[in-house]
Amino acid sequence: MAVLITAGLLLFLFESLIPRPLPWAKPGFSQMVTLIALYLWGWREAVTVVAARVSLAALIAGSFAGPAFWIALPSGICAALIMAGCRAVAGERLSIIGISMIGALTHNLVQLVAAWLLLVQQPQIFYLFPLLWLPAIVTGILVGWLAHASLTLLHRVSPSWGTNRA
Amino acid sequence: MASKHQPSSLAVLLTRYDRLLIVVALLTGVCSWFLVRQFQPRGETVEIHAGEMLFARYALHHYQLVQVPGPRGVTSVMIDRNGVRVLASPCPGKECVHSGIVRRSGQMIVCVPNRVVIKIVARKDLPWDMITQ
Repeated sequence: MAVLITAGLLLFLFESLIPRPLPWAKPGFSQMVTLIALYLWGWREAVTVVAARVSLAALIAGSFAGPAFWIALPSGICAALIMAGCRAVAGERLSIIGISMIGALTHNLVQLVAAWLLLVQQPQIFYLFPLLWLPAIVTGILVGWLAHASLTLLHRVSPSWGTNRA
Repeated sequence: MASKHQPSSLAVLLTRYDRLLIVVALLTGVCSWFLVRQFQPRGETVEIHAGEMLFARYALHHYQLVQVPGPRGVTSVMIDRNGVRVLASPCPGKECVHSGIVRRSGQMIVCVPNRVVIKIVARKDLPWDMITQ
């Protein structure tokens, strides 16, 4: 688990280095780690990983317990919980890519609601909704695909890893 | 021990429900785009530029007929409660007239031959102020 948290942190740092063509959209590569934790173990581990990752990332970026942190934390946790729920309900019907997309969309939605409650307190913030929603579909698919590839690699290296295989 | 996670292309990985989900999400996104546009605040002010200069600035709510001089003649601009439009222009293509009415902040009408730019501006554009992790 610690390895995954570290990997998530590295992905976050790496992601903050690559330029962004759209300032409001972010690929969310570290979401990949949450997905991997979910598929390897289960929802408790996924939530732990995302909470630790967001907290440590905030410490590194210097925004711990600031407003950005209080937006990122609930979004991450909600996304992890909803992904776990959808996976339990849908079973084989949704692949990891579908689950990842649900996670990305949830993340953006909760982020908006949290920003609305904590910061802006004006319904105008929801004008941003399509700007966040549409890129999230793309990044959700991309991240799900990458997570799938990583899981494939992990299983090849060590087939006995993980207790909660899909 | 056969692993469930085999490397494969996106097309193979996606289940029927994945595809359905993608379509539904896309539709939601596109619909919300149009919905949001409906609610977007109207611009507050209209700026009319002639050549390099700001020729005039008006509030968007009062009826006004403006004659804007340009190198080819006078462009007639009408401002009313519905928005701003170019009524008549001396330019050959009449693109500006055909642009119709603009009312939302950020929209503009441009007449290149007569060097007239009509721009709707909000009172202030909200910049984003932070990035989450």
